[in-house]
Amino acid sequence: MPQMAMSAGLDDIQESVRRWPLWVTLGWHDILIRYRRTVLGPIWNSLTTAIAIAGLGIVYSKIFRQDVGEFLPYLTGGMITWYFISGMVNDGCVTFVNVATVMKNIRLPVATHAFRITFKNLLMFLHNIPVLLFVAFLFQLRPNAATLLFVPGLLLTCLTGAWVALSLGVICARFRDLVPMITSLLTVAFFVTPVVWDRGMLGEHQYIAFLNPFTHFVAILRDPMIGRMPPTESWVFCASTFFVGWLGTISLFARARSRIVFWV
Amino acid sequence: MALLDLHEVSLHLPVHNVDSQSLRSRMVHMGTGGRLKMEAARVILVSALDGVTLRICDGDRIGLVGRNGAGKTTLLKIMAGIYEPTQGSVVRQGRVSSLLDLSLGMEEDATGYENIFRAGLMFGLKKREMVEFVPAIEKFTELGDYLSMPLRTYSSGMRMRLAFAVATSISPEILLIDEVIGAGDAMFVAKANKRTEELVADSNILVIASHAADVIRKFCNRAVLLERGRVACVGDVDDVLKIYDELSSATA
Repeated sequence: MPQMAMSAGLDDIQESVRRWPLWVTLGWHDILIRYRRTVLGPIWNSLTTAIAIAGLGIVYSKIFRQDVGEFLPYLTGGMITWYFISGMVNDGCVTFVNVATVMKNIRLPVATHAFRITFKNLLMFLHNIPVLLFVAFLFQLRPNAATLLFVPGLLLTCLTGAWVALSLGVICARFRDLVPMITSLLTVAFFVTPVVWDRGMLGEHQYIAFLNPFTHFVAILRDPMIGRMPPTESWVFCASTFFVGWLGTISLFARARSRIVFWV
Repeated sequence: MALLDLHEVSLHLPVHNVDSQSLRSRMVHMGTGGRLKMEAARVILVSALDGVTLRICDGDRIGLVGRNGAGKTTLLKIMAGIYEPTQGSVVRQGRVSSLLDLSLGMEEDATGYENIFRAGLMFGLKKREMVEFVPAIEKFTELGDYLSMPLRTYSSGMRMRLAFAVATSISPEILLIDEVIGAGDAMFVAKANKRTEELVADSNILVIASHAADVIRKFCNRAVLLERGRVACVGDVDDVLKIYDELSSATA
């Protein structure tokens, strides 16, 4: 690859980080506009989550014969984490396709569009935190040492989400078949990832859960939220995914950056 | 000092038809040989611009003329930095603002005010500049309370007002316009003309692509005739317009 393309790609990412007020505002507007003309606004986001958790919680605690006091916090932490992660993957597919008119009218650092997606999903995740707090209050969950790990867990998830939005955005703009493919894979991923069920239920086949990358990203965020220690292997997996992913993304982005505007 | 220096700029656009954009064609490309492979791998390469060299300095007001598909809009997008050339280089000095289509990348569901604010952010205005930016547009557009309404309720004339005001209110040193002057009612056209004249008077760079000879005569002191992505001739407005006329009538 020409060195110029690489340095232009890195400059773009750096410039995008520097212009954070832009993607913070646009990400916030994305949410505001989505709930425009509703009375409750973004609170709908929290309500939808609460309704889903109440429904799933009642039924599955019976199916799995679990104590509601144990199961509901686990389910809540897992669900809001899953919404966050799957939201970033889903939106990442249309990072650039959705802003085609902007890209064709105004010169902006290209990576800002990806960071906007990450930030928008982070905001939606934060809107779901009150649901978790309510459940924690209901079942008198006390914060402990593991709770502190929420901060690095959230940071690692966001930084990984940023490269996912960037690279998926590039690939899906070029190959449009990937969008429905990823959407359908995500639906399956929800059922094979320990969100509703616990990986302990797999008994001696727990390795199946560990082969699934989503398991680890759910674990590093959910487990601290419900006062559990995430498994060490999950930290190792997520940190390596973050590094390797960014390396791959930078190389892909540097090659594709100037072409994206023609693909969208 | 504003400068636009294009050196041997070429842009070859790959046009991916539905087939080549899909993954299937890629897999077919990998998995088969012979003719199918040839078919699947076909990407049409359009040569939108071919070796364009132009040096535009302070005080230059360029009128871009040429038939449909000659590359006028593409050249404006290269100048704006929206497209990067596949060959050649572009040197750009000065704040660029472009009015290429009426959407200006605005959000349909956001209000006029929100769109103004977003545009300011996208242009990279500082807080201090933003304070002046919003009222300036408010005043220029005369849209009043409509600015609190979502953009999708706007008529095309109102969109025109807003887009024109946004594009010209950041005091650009390089202003690129793609045949939009003319939409809007007579009063606004007069106002837009006055604003354009003011900008031109500040000895900035102006590039207008238009089919309207009177617009080019009014605002420009040089003209560029594009023909199939190449510069056919550069020079005095009347000379170039005459050549363009002859060319049009010859092929008509």
